[in-house]
Amino acid sequence: MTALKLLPLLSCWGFMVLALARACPGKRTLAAAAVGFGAGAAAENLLLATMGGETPFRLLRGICGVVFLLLWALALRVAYRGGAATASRGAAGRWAPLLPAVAACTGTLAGGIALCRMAPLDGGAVGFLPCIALAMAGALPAAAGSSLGGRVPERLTPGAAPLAALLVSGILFMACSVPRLDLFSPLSMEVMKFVHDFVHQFFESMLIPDHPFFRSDVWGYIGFLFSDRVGFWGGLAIWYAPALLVALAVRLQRLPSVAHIRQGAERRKLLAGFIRNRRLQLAAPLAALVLLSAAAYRSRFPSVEYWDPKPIAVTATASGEILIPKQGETPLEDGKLHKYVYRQGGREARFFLVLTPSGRLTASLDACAICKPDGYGQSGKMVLCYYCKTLIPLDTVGKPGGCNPVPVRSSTKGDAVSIDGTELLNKWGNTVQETSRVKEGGR
Amino acid sequence: MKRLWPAIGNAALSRAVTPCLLGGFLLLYVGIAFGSDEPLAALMAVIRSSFLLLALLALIPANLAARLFREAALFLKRRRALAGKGDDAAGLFDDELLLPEHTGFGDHAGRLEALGYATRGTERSLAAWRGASLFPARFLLLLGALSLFGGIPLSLATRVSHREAVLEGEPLPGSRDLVRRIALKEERGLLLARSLDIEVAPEQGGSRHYGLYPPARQRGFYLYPRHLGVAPLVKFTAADLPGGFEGYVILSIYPPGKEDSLRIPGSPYRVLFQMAPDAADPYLTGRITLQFRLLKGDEQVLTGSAPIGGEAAGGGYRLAFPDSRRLVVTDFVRDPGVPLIWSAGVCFALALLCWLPVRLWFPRQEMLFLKTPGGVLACSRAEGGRRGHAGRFHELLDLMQPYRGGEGAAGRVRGL
Repeated sequence: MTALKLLPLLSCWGFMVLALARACPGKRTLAAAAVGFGAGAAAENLLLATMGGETPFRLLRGICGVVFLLLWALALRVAYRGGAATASRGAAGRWAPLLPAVAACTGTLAGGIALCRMAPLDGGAVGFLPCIALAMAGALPAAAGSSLGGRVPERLTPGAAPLAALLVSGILFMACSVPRLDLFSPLSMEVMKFVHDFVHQFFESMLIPDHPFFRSDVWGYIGFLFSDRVGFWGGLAIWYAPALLVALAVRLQRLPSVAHIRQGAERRKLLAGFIRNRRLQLAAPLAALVLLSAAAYRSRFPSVEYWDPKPIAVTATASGEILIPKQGETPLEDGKLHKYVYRQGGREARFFLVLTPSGRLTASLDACAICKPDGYGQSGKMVLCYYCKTLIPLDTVGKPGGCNPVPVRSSTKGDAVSIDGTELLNKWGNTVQETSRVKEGGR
Repeated sequence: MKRLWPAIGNAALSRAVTPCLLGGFLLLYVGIAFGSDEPLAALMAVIRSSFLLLALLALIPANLAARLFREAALFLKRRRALAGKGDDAAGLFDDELLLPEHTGFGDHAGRLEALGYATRGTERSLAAWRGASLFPARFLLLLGALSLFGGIPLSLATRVSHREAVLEGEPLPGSRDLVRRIALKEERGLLLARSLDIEVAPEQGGSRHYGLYPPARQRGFYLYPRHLGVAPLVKFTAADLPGGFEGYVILSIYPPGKEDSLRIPGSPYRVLFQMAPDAADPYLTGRITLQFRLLKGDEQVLTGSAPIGGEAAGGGYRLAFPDSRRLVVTDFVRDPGVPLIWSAGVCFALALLCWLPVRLWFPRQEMLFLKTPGGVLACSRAEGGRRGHAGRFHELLDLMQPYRGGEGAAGRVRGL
């Protein structure tokens, strides 16, 4: 099962090694990649063992984010210079001495990410043997790369920027395969926040009147800017943009000057050769786009299974009190998420009860104060917000703030948990209204 | 010092300055986004409070202005060269080649005219061109960017805003001009569905009207209407409140469903108001009915509704609304950056309108052959259809200096 989980990641790593092998044939680069992979896996495991919690994941996710930003900077640079930086075919030009270091860094990141895929959701480190097996599995493509890399046609040797796009896309694909390292979902959410913030500030700054004065159809178009689709498509645009910019820079490379050649055939031959090579240079950024698409898909549809029971309908007593027996059809204190839905007079609220590791039975809305109320699923000692894919430790469920489920006041009455129905409905109404206002509705 | 000034000049003209600065602010935004739910507003506040960041932001319009002048100068220089007036065309074109001194222009002008080029020949030069230049679009784009990035720091540094209620029958805040009438009308425009008319009688006579958009100015401040509201005259009496209460109360209860409250001073009473929904908009028709809940402490003691001009009573309590005035909650904003940002939008739109047809259908293509002391300088430049134009240029070069066996190349490439 673990091997199956790792297969896409290791395949991606193999592909990255192949690109590195083609860009810089020779054992030094591949050895650096293999050693980096093993070292990355070991270092991440050490962090998991010593620090525990979410910190090792956040650290790695932060590094992946910085790497993505660096790719953005590089892509802007090559696009701004009209492809001059990508013009020299083959990375093994000016940058050749740096390639082993690049391979080692890429390997370190890939190794760390692959280990996170194996890390138990409940916390803690990966065992010694699986860790060693992973390091060996990571070294295998490097060993194979030395022979396979030579078989890739030389004309496909990527330039510096296309190679960087390919490697970073590979890293992002691997990161998005691990929910706790996923970058695409937080990016979509930040984009949505930015668009909302920007439109609001733009209206304020340009003294544009508020929605009661607008035509409803016009406001419908403006309202689209507040929808979560803008977050997704905007996020996707930012996600693809560096690879697209690199592809654009390659495509827009100026043809060499042939004005000094006085034979038409010779001029045409020279230009045709340049154009053919320029087309082949597009292979790496296009492969990067495929990897980025796969990463976005993995982020939207994670392969992790979550415990997400169908909400049970509950009713309130005449005094508006919802009573849920602790020992009903399913015992509440089994450590699993128990979802309920309460309907009254056309209003409804979804909530859940869960026993935290510290032994508290807490009630919370199946929604947070930030995201759309897509609800939560449980995996071990974590719950996950389906909307923004944030993992929340069970220990912190029942505490307000961030993407935590909104806590609901509850008390124990005899052998049952008691919740005030009106308060629940109001809280749900306020939360959903607030998040819908931000994510879907108006300003 | 001799080296310093050119270095500063190059830095000021560098195309990298603006993207680098914008990238820096983007990174700052990303950093702030980690710790704030409204990162853009937070970023604006940070920039507003930091002289260094404001100065950095102001470098963007400075760089754009320098580039605007530089590109305009290059454009004019190229035009002069094409008119046969310039002595040096080096560096003004995309492709340059130095041909031997004896190269003649022959009847190449006629050949170029047959290909659709306009030509101009002098003793020293032959120029050919077709299509329209994209420079006006480029100029507008840079001018728009200059306006935009000039307007943003100006707005951030100097914006002053305060919120006031503009009430019928009361002077306009900050002046003695009297607000005569506030009217909301259904008037379907291009973007807006309603129009707002605030009629003011200035102190010196006549009348002025303030609307929604574009906002009118009063003593240097834009009037930016934010919400509508009403100010009913509320008369309240209760058995344990002998003096009662009477006064105009500003209520932000529009549109219907929005709630506002009035705390009766020196008493435990609080009244929660809503505007009753109606088939037609009550603010438009003027038929306003107020729904209210009277609370004494946390206890609700009376609930009901009454139209303006009516009253409601019960349990020893009486609430009457003999009169009402309309009001507009308005931001008074002084911001010299706003016109600059507006004009940036106009410039961008004009630039696009100018660029698109020219780039698609009439791209500029130019050739220049100029006799210089070192030989004949052949130059070519195209803003679109580059390969076709380059092919024609190369064929003309072939005619000017035919290939002779054994010669691989002729001329020297310059400035590439």
